[in-house]
Amino acid sequence: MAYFLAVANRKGGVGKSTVSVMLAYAFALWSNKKVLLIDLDAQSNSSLIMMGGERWIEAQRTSKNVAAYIEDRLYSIEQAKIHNYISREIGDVEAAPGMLPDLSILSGSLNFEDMQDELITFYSRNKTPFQQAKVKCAEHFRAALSFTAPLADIIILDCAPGLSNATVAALKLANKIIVPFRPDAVSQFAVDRISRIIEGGRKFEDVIAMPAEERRYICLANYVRDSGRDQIYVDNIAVDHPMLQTFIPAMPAVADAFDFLGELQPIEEKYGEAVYPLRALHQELTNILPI
Amino acid sequence: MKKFGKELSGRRLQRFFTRFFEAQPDINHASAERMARDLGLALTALRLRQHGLASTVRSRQNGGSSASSAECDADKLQVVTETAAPSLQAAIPANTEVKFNPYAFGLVPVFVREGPDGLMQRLNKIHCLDHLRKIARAQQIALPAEFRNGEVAVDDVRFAIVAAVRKRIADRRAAAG
Repeated sequence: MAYFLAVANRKGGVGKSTVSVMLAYAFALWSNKKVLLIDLDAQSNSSLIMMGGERWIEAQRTSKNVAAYIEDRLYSIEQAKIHNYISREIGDVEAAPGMLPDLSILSGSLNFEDMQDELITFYSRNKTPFQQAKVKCAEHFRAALSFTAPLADIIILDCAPGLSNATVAALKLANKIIVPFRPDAVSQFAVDRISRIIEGGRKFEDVIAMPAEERRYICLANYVRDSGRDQIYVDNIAVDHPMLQTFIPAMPAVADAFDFLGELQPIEEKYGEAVYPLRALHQELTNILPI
Repeated sequence: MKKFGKELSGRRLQRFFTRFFEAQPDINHASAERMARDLGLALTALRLRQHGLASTVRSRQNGGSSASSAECDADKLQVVTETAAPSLQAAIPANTEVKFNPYAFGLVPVFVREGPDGLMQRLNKIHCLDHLRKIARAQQIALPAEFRNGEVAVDDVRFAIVAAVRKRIADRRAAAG
């Protein structure tokens, strides 16, 4: 049975796609797992990092993307076989010289937000109350995403910022949710809020009273600068939330790795010095998750 | 000192090393690439080992105080030696010129974990008025105006910090609720 790992935070710019892609590579390469990345963000950043522009455009043209899959399931379930929408052999990192890791993607689509509007319109027909339609919509997403389970050992759900029906569905479906954040004041509020949503809308006091190991989420500090100030912000968030010991330092090598080169390279080459925190992150997650 | 360019890392660093080795006599392209890769990895490992040390060293260089009272000087050394990694403590000479570190401990985490008394105990170890103000300011803990400037009792500032931390936590939890 696949393990669903969501990467989510309502706040934008915290590194959701960065972390999703890093983890996809790490589990595929170092755990020898079959990994599927699902890009639920209309910006499609993780798709572009993993596929490059040309292949991503091709996936749009041929409807091999998440928006097409969800929409087709709405109108013609029989034809909407999940494997038809997956792009395989992605990335520019090699598992061994000249050999790709077992890595696939259900790519993102610029139409994803329009499709969500279409979905809510569909479920609102016949004067269905809006909230009821939203629930049905989220359930449609959850069911559609759950059909990906046979395709991989680990399925990484790269959520969009905000709280769309797709993100709500991903949060419900995920076995574990990684909440990346940047160490600053607004990130504290963002983490506090998404923790409540993940834990089923409980009161904040009830969420922080839960033992860390019982919570479905764990936080990951990203873009941590070498300063006491950043460490204080991380510590302030760790007071109330489970926190990975590993953090991703602010280093140019992380941003350099966004470039899709199209030529296979060892991960040490792609990530440069960022490969060390990535290895540490993989090791820590391997220890705490049943993967 | 002015910073002239982006620090080299990853592929750019490797290309730089490759070009350097290729320019040497008797080194072919394949050897140059291999040596560049090995050197890049070694350098990266070295940088990361230095990372932990660097953060401690940098924190000693930041947040200096212009105050020169005996209390302020005592705070500086005490906080530095307390917060430095055990392996570094022995390496800090007694007469080291160090500066007060306003991030030596987190006001909010200490309050939550050890309560107001625990925080007060920590603050009691800081004797310099300027340093108490500095730690509050650095950690975005807003003190009432009367405690931010001028001569006030050090104890009053400590109490004001504890009260402000309590308010800060309540504010954050209200926003989350």
